[in-house]
Amino acid sequence: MSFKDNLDSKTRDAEVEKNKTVTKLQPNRHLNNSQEMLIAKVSHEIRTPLNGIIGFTDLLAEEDLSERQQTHVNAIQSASNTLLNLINELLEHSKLSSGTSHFENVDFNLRNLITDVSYLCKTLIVNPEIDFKVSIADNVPSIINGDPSKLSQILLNLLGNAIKFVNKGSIELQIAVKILDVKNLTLDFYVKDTGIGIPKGKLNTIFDYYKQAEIDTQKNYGGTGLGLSIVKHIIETLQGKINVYSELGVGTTFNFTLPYIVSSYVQKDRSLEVDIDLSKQEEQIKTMSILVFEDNILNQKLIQNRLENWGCKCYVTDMIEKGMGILENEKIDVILMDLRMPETTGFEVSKRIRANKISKINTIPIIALTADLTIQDKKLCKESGINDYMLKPFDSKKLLHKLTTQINPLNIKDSMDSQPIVSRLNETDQLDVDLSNVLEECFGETDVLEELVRLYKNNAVEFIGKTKINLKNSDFEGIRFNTHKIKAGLKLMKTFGLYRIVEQMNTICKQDQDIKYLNFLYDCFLTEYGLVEKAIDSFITDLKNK
Amino acid sequence: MSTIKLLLAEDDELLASLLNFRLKKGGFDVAICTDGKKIKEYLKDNTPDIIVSDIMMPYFSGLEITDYVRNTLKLDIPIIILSSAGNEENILNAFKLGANDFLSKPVSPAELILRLKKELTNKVI
Repeated sequence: MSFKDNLDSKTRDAEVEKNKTVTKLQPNRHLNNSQEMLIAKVSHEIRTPLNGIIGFTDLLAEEDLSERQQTHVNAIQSASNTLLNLINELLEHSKLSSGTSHFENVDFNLRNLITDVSYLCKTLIVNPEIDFKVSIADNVPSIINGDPSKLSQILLNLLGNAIKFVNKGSIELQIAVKILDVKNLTLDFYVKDTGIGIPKGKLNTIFDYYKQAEIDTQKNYGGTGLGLSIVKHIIETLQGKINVYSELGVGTTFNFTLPYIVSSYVQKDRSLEVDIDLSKQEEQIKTMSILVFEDNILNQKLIQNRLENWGCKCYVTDMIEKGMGILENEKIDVILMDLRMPETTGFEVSKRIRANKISKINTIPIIALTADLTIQDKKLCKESGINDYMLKPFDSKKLLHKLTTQINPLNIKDSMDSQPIVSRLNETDQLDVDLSNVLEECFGETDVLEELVRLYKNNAVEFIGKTKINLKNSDFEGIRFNTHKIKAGLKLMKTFGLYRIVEQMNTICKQDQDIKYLNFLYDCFLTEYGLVEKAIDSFITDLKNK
Repeated sequence: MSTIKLLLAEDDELLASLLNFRLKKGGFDVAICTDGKKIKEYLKDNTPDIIVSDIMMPYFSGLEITDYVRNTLKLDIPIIILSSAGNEENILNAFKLGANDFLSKPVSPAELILRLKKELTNKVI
């Protein structure tokens, strides 16, 4: 399968479906909308049967074929991947143009993202004469807030281009940061290559649709020509800028800048995590068979690579039918499930698996993989029969730990002895609302818990009201007092996400007194409190219905 | 044994409510005061067997209350201080002023009751 062709567009497509709407693009661009929407809809419809073709061709390729048949299957694979690539780009382009593409604002680990991207690029570079280098300035923070999938899409597209056009020499990714204030920063990216270069006259049209430098270039190097215009479109929508410098025969440099927000959550120092006996765990999962539902090619590759390194047998798919087929024919120990896939959701797939009549299939542990888990998601996880979840991006240690916990339930007991592991699992989730501990403290008496919830809500309303006035008057002492007052209650009810926001507000009042940042955190509090309140209410309702 | 009179001085209603529930279940006769003024007023007419007090409260802090109980009222009833985490300096001061024990928030009701019982048995001996 032509992985390289498929790469840049498929990774981006994975994220398009995400339901977290943060920025809606150009909502007033009505003129082209109906046409763009039609393209978007049709492209989407074409993808479904096409995925079927690709999936079954992949299966066919694994069978015992004659050399001649193998050549034919390869041809089908290559052509259908090219078609999928084209459709994905078209879909992306029309979504961007019609304003239906969704952008996210989440905390993510930039350095991990870069590691993943460069790992993937290295696997794409087959030519030993090409040197791939990455340099990140020391002051670039690890955790920032913005849209991680769009960033990897941009990088993979530009680096993918570079890989296409360089025959000899080097490809370099450089990242620097401009810290604007306590809340804002700009990242400055350079993608430099020593490729064939772009003639001067063509430089200003390179970002237009369907313009690669020469018609010949397209013939030689492939691609739809939509890639760069999509990259530019995304960057500009994210309020960034992109420039290109090039000299024929010397090379090309793409420079783009993107604004990000400094992460609002106090990040846990992961090095403090308990070191588990890794080799023992690796030994335990050595012979496991794992089915991974994941549509993002980058993630597919990474997971597959990790699992295979540990000696696991790994099956990857993003199609429900193919997955069900694997479950019927193979003995699978654990399923890793991406929650958001283009054609379906992890919840739906999990429900299908749980509803299967064969007990060998419907009892397999399912671990959900997701970049951000909301409370609603969590409820859905429970309802769909998902056993556990892991927040992306995750490191190998965490994956290993989750896997061993699933195959060997005794391990849960082991880890209970060492407190930090248990609390770590809770702490990774910023929106966790679980009142069962609090209920225990109330000796299971629902009315006592309800009284606590009533007081908790009073506290929150008071905090929201008073802080709003204090923010207007820049009354830092008042805000500090409010945060102090509400802190204990937030902790008592185990709403740690809110607790962290409030604690940070408290620190800012004492130190830099940045009113803008306080307003931002206050807004975070409001958003999160809405979710938390809903979760608490549904917890109480469930409790009463029992 | 007669019921133990306990004064709970805590301005956070949420925590006070939970502790009140658990302490009553534990057999204590609980009075709650939510600020320093009310505590002083309560202490004029009542002498509890034990005091559980937060540090930061309106009007008078838990430290001032400790000082008031020891030096003005001259009472040696056990005082347990509840403090926010990372407030070590205050805890030292509380001990200097005559507090008997402290607990960091978030307070576990079960632990509080154990400590109360320990303080009360110490006193009998």
